[in-house]
Amino acid sequence: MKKIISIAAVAALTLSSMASAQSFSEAFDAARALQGANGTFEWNGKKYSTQTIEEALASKPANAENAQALFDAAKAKYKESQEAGFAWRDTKKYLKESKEAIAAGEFQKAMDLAARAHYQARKGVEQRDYAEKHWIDAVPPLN
Amino acid sequence: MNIIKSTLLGLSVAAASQMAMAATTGATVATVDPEADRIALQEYMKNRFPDTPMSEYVNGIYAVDAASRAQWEEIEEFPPYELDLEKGEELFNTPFANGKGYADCFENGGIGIRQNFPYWNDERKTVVTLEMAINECRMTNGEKPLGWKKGAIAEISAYMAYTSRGNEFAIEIPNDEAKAAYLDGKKFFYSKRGQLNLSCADCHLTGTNRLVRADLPSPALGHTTHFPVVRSKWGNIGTLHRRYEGCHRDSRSEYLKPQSETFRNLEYFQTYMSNGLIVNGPGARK
Repeated sequence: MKKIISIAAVAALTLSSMASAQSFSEAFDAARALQGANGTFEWNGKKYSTQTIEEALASKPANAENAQALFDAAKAKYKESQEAGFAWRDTKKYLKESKEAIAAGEFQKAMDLAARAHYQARKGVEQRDYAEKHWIDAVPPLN
Repeated sequence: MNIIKSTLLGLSVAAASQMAMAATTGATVATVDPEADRIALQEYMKNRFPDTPMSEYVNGIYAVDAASRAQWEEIEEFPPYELDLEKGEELFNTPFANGKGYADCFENGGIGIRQNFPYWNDERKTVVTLEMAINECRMTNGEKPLGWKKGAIAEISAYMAYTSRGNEFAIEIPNDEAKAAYLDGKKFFYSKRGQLNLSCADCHLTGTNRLVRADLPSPALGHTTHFPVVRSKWGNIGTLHRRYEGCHRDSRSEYLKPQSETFRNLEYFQTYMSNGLIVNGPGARK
């Protein structure tokens, strides 16, 4: 009986310590949900902003150079998500519209669209990373 | 000392159970066990729907939802694919310009063979689907390939399925390369993707017969047995890969093309899961 209690205690301790080890992504999501885009949070002793990479990039001055740089970054990330096999449906459309906006001199619009494309592509790559580790968890076990 | 012993015992039990789990589920070519996967999927469905006989899974959602089944049985009184079957038979028997026909390309003259598709072609190191074989037959005989999703290819495939009704699927996985293709299909099926972060399994395993908006997703088991199908939403007959494309798009993924290698591997995995079930295509679906 003592043995069983000890095993249960060890298992509970292990599980609780696993649960408390929050990843950066989890900490970011929690802080973002509470504070929106203009907050800060601490993770592993350091302070971080709740702004996404894309929000930070799109808030730079709206000019041709920044719009083109963000478009290029989004296009590269989109390619990465495609190669991973996890590209999202509308990313290509946002990139096309961003390119058209750059040509029309509508730089803020172009940056917003490129930021959206970048976000989608980044999330697609994250999905690939998650799937690599966890897809097998969804397979029904043989009892 | 007792506590240390117990701790070590506890940890070793935990480690052993992790190892055992990895060995049975199989995420690599070395460990994947298609037959164990098939039995596990059947067990899952048996537990979810204890009143549904295994043989009923060829009927999709109509195997597990009584209200949908009642509507479907009424539709089946005048099957919406009847004209497609007639057209398919006519196309199947119309000779190519060189005088040869589809019957010359397939075993047993193309009659009663649906249950053998898709299969692993070891020379080409790829999965061959029935629709792929139909188009390759055309091209070998100097004809243009047909579109993959609807129309003539679905009609010919429907006729070939019809001649195979009642035959049990018997998909084989002959070697490790074939197993790798199966594993690729399995991995695709269980991986979340797209803006909606959905895997095939989210809707067709855990989500079976649970409302997704106003729709009830069908069980994964038996998915491939009844294709091609006339879908009420389409208003005409379409192939399995047309449906794959639609599902993939609906998850808001950049969707793959019909007959892409990934979709063929997915069909290989899904059809292996249906081994032992019978061909009942073509079908009618919502």
